[in-house]
Order: sequence, then C-alpha cells, then structure tokens
Amino acid sequence: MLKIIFAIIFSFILLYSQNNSYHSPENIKYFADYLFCQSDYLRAIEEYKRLDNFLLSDTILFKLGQSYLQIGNNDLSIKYFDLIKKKSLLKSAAVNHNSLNYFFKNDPDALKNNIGLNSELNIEDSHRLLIITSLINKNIYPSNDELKLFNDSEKSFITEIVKKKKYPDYKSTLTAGALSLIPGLGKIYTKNYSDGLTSFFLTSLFTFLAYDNFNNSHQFRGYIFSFAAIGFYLGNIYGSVASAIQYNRYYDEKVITETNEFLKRNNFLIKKVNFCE
Amino acid sequence: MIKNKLEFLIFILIISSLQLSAQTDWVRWNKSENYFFENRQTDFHNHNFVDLSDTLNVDKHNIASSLVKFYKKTISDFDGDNCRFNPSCSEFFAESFKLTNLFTSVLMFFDRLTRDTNIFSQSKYKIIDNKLYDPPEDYIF
Amino acid sequence: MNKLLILLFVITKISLSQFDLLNQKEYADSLYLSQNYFDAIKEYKRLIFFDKENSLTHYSYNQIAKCYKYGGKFEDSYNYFSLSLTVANSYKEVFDSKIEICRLNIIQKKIRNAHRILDELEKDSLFNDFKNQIKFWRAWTFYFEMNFEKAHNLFNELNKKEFSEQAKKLSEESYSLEKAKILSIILPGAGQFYTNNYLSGLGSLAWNLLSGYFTIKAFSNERIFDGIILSNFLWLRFYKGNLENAEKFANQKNEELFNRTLNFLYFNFPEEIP
Repeated sequence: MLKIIFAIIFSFILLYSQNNSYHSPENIKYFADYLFCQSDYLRAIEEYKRLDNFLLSDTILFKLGQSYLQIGNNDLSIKYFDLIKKKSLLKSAAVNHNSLNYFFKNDPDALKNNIGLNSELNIEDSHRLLIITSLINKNIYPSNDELKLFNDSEKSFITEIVKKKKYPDYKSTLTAGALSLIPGLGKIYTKNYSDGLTSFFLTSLFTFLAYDNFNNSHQFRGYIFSFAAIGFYLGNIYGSVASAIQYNRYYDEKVITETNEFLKRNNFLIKKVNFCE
Repeated sequence: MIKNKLEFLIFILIISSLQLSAQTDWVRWNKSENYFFENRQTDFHNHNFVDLSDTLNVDKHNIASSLVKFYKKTISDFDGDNCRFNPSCSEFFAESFKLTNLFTSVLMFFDRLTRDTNIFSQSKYKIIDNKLYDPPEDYIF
Repeated sequence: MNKLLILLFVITKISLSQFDLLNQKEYADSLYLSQNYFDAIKEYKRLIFFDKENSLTHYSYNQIAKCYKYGGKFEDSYNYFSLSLTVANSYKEVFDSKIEICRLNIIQKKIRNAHRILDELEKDSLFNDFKNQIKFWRAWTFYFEMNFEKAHNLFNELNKKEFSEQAKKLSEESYSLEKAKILSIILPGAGQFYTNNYLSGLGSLAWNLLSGYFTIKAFSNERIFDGIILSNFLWLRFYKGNLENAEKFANQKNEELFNRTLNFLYFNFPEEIP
C-alpha cells in the first residue's frame, strides 16, 4: 500500500516539474524567441525582461539589443549590446550593431569611440560604417587603404559619392540673378523650365496690358497692370536666386538620400546575425 | 479548414504578411475610443475640401494677416478651392510677411503666383492631403 | 498495479496540460475584457504557441483580430480574421470569421466588398441557419452606404426598433447633395440656404450678381476683352465656388448627423455595430 502511495506522490512531483506552466522561465524563453522571430519585437522584449538576470545569456542579450534597435530605441539597444561579455562569440557582432546605433543617433564621435574601445576585435563592419559617416557628415574622403575594406560594387558607389562631394554640380546664385534680368531665363538656368516660361509669359502679358491701357488713356488700369508687371518681374529675379539656392540644397539632399538607400540595400554594411530559420 | 491549394497559398501569404504587420506593435497602443471613425474611406465625394476660414495662427497685430483674414472671409470663402498649393497663396503671403518684411513678402507672393499659374510643374513638390506642399521657408535665404 | 500507475500518469498529464490551457485562455480573456488589448494579443499568441492540438487556435486568432480592430488597426485585424478563417473547424466558425471580415469592410466603407461577402453567404445553403444575421449586417452595409431607406426597412423586418428609428431619422433629416447642387445651379446661394448656411448663401448671391453685372456691362459696351476676363476670372470663379460650397455644407451636415446616430448606437449597443 505504502509503495503505491509513494509511487503516486512521486508521479505527481515528476509531472508537476515536467509539465511546466506556460509562464515558467523555460517556456517564457521559448515564447520570447517565437515572438522575436515573428518580428514582434516589443512583446519579445517584454517577455525576455520577465526572466531573471542570471538567465539572460549572451544570445538573449543580443536579441534584446537587436529588438530595441529594430523598434528605434537606440539607447537601450546600446545598453544591452554593451552587457555582452568581451569573451563571447557574439561580442564582435554586438560592437558592430552598436556602431549602427551610434549611426542612427547621428553621433559619429561616439561611433569612432566605440571602435577605439574594441579595436582588438574583428569589427571591420564598424570601420566601414565610420568611413561612410565621415564622408557624408564631415566630408572626410576615404584613403586608398580604407577603400580596400569595401567590395567592388561598394567601392564604385563610394567613388561616385566622393566625386559628387568634391565637384558638386551647384548653380551660381549670381548667375541666376543676372540671367533673370531677362524674365524667366534665371529659372531656365536652374532647370525650372516651365516656371521660367510662365514667368516670361506673365511679365510680358502684364507689360503689354499696361502699355495698351496707358496708350488708350485708361490711367487707373494702366497703373494696376504696371504694378502687376513690376511685381512679376522683380518676383522672377527673387525666385531665380531662390531656385538656385534650392537647387543646390536638393543636390546635397540627393547625395544623402542615395547614400541612405545604398546603406539600406546593404543592411547598413553590418553582417546579419540570424537566429530564426 | 484549409479546403484547397489556393487557400493554403493565401494562408502562407498571410503568415508572411504578419511579419510586416508586426511593425504596428513596435509601440504600445491603447484602445481606440471610436474605432469605427478610424481610417474610414469617405464615400461622400472625391473632393478634398480645404477649410479656408481661420487657418492662420498669427499675431493679432500683424497687418498682413488681418488683411488676409479679411480676404478669406469676404472673397476666398465664396470663390471655392482654387489653389493647388498648401499653404494657399494668401496664407503664403501672410506667413512670408511674418518671416521677412513687406517688400520681400510681396516679391515671394508674385513668385508664388507664377508657380500657381504654371500647371505643368507638379513633380518637384511633395503631395500632402491632395495639395502640393510649398511652404515659404523654402524661399527664404 | 503497474498498468494502473501508467494510466494514472497519462490522465494526470493530460488534465494538467488542459488546466494550463484553460488557465491561459482565462487570463487572456480577462485582459481582453478589461480592454487591455495590446497585452491580450500577447497572451492569445502564447495560447496559440503552446496549444499543440490547435483546439483554441481559431478562437485565439479571432480574439487577436478583435483586439486589433478595437485598437483601430484594421489591416492587422483583417490578417488575423483571415487566418482564423483558414483554421476554422466548423461551418459556424467559418461563418463567424466571414462575418467579422464583412464588419471590417463596413467600418472602412468598403461597401462593395461587404455586399460581396454577404451575397456569398446568402447563396451558400450551409449558412441557411444564419439568414437573420446576414440580413442584419446587410442592413448595416446599407446604412454605411447612406442608403438609409433600405437600412430602415431591413432593420424593421428584423424587429430592431432602435436601429430602424435611427435609419429613418437619417433618411428624413439628411440633405440631398443633388438637390443642393441643382438649387445652386439655378440660383447661386440657394444651395447654401437649403443647408441653412444663410450668410454663405447671401455672400455667394451677392458676388455672383456683382460679377454678372460687371461682365454684362463690359460686353454691352463692346469691351470684349474686359468681358472675357471678368467672366472667366470673376463670375465663373464665384459661380463654381457657390456650387462647391453647396455640396460642402450638405456633406458636412450629413456627416455630423451620421456620426451622431452612430455614436448613439455604439454607446447603447456596442456589440451590434460593425
């Protein structure tokens, strides 16, 4: 009889320990991994954080860092990547991802510092990101040695950007203003062709109307049309100078946009660490 | 019950689209008070009516803005939605007067009228709420 | 004796896992009922993850979809209702999922889609037991389509008194866009008068009369060019503006009325609106 009772009690203990509830640490971790692989990062973070600190392995810390990076919380992402020990196999990747965090925070000095503090690790990706950031933000052109870190297609893109930075295709505001003495020509110079033609048409039209009305002794209407003609003429000069400034601004923005698109296509030059199948 | 291959394909597509829709949940959100008013396509009309009255938020003592308000109440409210741009030409004038001076704002206003008359040039502007976005800040140097 | 022990072991294992499943469902449901939808989604996802036999998968997907819906995230809601459809185990479950998708279409005013789904359900003899429900959502589709007369009739047939009263109210009190436009075509400002915007109507009328007078005066004095300019840049502008305003005010008033009745029905019958 006693044997039976002990067997039953033992079974219950065994079952209870084996049949974990869904909120046991092990199951929390499994579920958090599932959420992470579904890209449900915020919920994955909340689940991982339910685990006790001593259960946070380097892999979990890395996933936390990646999750925060994905949802745009760069500061917390940096914190978790920094917690990964130096001896860990994931440390190089963590440093690279932190470089990405500093890139998104627009902090090239912190990026450089991050590389300096971890120079003994294999962090080529961070070096490449720093080169691009320095080129765009500080006009620091990469040396030939630095270009060796990139593959051929990346190299050709960077060379193109360097060319655009060194020899920008700007429009001169003085030239635009001077050309606009002939109504519309200044805007045609800054490639606003239809605006230039419209400006020429309107200035000519109102000038003609002013002349015609004065000729026919309609003084009041003559003055109205003269005011309009002068307004369109001076407005065309102002607009031509403004359009040259705008042209130059759009040129610079285009360089930045092209660089951002290049980085997005190449996962910001950081090797992906894939935990999901 | 997945009845056939087509439904299975749709199932797979939906599962993969869940990856994209997970982005909704990268920020915590609360219950929407009147969820049936969210994201509703309006069936009334394709037109996007711009409320022309009282859109300015300017200093009371600004003469230009007072003139523009008077123009809106007496003329603009009755002649319909004619400006392709946002802000409208009268608002553009008031805002540029606020940012610069009378002379410059008049020049900017005539330059804006030129762009408004030019119906061919649309691609260089951002489109926000069916209007071409063209703020005065872009023309101040 | 050994066989008894093994049997006891198996029964205990099954009942404990069922216990966990039901516990989890209860927890998720409590979050849903307290309108904590963001966390409820997580707990329903947990239920799906650990439910190896998929006994509650359809239910969980449905609940997740509802959470997204009440959070105003219709695309995600649609995705999960579609998922629940693919894992439905009975015709009732298929019907529930399809009706939920129909309701989503109604809220987003995707009227054609809503009608199409209801047509499919009506034609399918498997759903003959749900004819009243199909009619009810059909009435709502008409309601959102602004066809208040039809909505009123259908709600009446189903004995939904409050709903049919609101639909009748809308049918009687809504302004006709066509009427407002036609009135404004015949007499500038009349459309605004029809929608009780008297000041705007008077202003429109005054501007049209003034610009009309100047235009006719220019043509009668053989100032053709002036006449063309005045008619194009003045008269036509104010005439067009008058038509736009008539339509705008009618739309505004109708929208206010519609929103008011919808709010009333939502607060009194929250489960019965789309």
